[in-house]
Amino acid sequence: MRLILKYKTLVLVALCQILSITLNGQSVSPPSVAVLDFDARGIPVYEVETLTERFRTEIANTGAIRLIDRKLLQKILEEQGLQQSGCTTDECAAEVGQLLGAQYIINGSIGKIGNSFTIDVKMVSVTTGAAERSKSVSYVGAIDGLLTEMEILAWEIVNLPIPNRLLLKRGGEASESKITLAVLDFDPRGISTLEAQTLTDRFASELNNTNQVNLVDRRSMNEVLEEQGFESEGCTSEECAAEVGALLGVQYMVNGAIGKIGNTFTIDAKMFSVSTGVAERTKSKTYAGPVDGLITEIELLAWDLMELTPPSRLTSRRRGTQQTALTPPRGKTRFGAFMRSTIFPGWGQFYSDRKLMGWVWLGSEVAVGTLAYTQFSAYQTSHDDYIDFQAQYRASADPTEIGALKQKSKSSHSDMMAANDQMTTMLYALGGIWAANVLHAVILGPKDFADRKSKSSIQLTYNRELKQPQLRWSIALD
Amino acid sequence: MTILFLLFIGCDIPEEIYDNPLDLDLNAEKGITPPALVFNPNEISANSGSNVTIQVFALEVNNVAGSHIQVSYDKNKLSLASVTLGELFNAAQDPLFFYENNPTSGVLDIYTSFLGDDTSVSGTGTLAYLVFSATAPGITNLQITSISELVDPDDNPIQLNGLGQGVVNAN
Repeated sequence: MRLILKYKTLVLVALCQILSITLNGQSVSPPSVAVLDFDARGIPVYEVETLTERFRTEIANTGAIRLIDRKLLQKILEEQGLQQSGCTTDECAAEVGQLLGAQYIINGSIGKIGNSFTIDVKMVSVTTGAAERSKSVSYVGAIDGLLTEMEILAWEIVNLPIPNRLLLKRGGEASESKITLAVLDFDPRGISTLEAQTLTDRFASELNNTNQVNLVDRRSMNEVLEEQGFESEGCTSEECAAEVGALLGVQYMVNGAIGKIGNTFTIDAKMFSVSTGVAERTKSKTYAGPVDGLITEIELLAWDLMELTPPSRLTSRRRGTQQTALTPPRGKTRFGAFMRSTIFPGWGQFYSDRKLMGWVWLGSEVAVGTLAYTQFSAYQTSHDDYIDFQAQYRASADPTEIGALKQKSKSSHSDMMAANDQMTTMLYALGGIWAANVLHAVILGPKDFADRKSKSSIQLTYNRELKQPQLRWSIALD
Repeated sequence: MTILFLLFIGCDIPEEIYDNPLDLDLNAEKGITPPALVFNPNEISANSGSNVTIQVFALEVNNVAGSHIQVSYDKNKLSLASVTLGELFNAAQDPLFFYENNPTSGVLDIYTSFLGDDTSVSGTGTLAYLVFSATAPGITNLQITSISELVDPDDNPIQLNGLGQGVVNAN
């Protein structure tokens, strides 16, 4: 009795397991997938075959599928008189899949347009004949970079997260001695978002140039964040950045802010450990000068953050002035323009970045000055003649000669008077032009002063932290 | 600007002074027209105790064979040192030349004459050089008096249209 009961129990358990498997409707083993050779469009077939093989290898590494061996695939297709390449339609893929006994077929194409490569891959269900997933990639670079792209596509087509090693491979050669790092867009304060992003990109590029980091590039970072349903915009807190860093699988995160106060720019960058959340390095720069000089400053900041000496190609490009915390920024002033124009006509205008007017004033002064000097030369000549004729007149004892010398003397004296009058007029004109130049320099002032004056002191801005619009009112103190 | 300013302030206009005593226009303004007797220079400065030389000039005279020049001067401030013959009477024949000085009255008479009927001189030139010594400071006048006369070879007087004045300024 006991033996029969034990036997019945065993049978019941086995039946339950079979029922369980059947009710679940799925096999515990991954689906079988065959990868057909990708179609070549504009690149050699052998290169496409190499890339497809890399794809096969990596998709097998994902563990998400059971890959049908390529040789088996080839054999079966030959028996059926079919070829792998050219089978890009879903119907063709389904037909081949049925012959192979696969659940899914993956096919695709690799093409080249100009300097860009395109990869399109589809995963077709043999049962339904429909493409269940498709992925596309555009790539610019050397063709051997497509190997990494194929590896990444292998993970994407099976809907699995891309391993960091591949992301880093995409950004450059991985190195054990380098730290892994990602850069979040610097927060703009007084500059546009686009400018902040551009400067962030330049900062990231220069970080790469230090050869001390394995940098997760922006595209890869955004892809990962999008997949995770995460928005990096507005991620300014350290906690947020650490969360992003954990998602990306990097050791460090860099974030910061770029601000503008008057003519001065401030750049603040922070590098902190993802694992501890502690800011390990903080660097700041204050810069006053033309805005294009800011690019060089942010590149220099990248080296500063890595605590390295920046290369001379950057230090030689440095423009503007570096400010310390104790040195207030010195902009151009009306008084400066006034003093310069007082000393030298046109100098105040050059100081005020009004070069055309500077040349006008300077040219006028030079022209009138030249005329004045010409008259002075004529005066000198007439004066010398007069003195000479006077001496001869006084010394002469011949009335006829005396008369002639007197006439010459009078003529020279008249010429001298005329030249002196002309010169006086020119000098008054010089003085007038000089005074007008000083007034012009003072009234118009430096260009940036005029721009500041022309800007409204009331601004409508959006506060990201509070997520609300604000009306800001400011008064220029200079 | 500084250079031009310096140029400006360095431009002086000298005063026109035409004071040559032989200047016909100048003499005409004073009412002296040729033929005339004038001093050259007509104004001279000297230190007290020093000598000054003044020429007696005949201005555009014609056919002069003899002359009598009388000069009056301030005896209290000037004393006559010497009188020498001028170049006007330099001709082929040396003239007769002498003078008389009265220091009491301050009058000097100078006589010049060619002997014979043929010799005469014309033009503008010095009749005599007078050397005075300034004995006292101050301004003193010299005057060619109306008694002065020029004569032609026939001893006819030649009309003089002007008799000049001179000034000696002793410091």
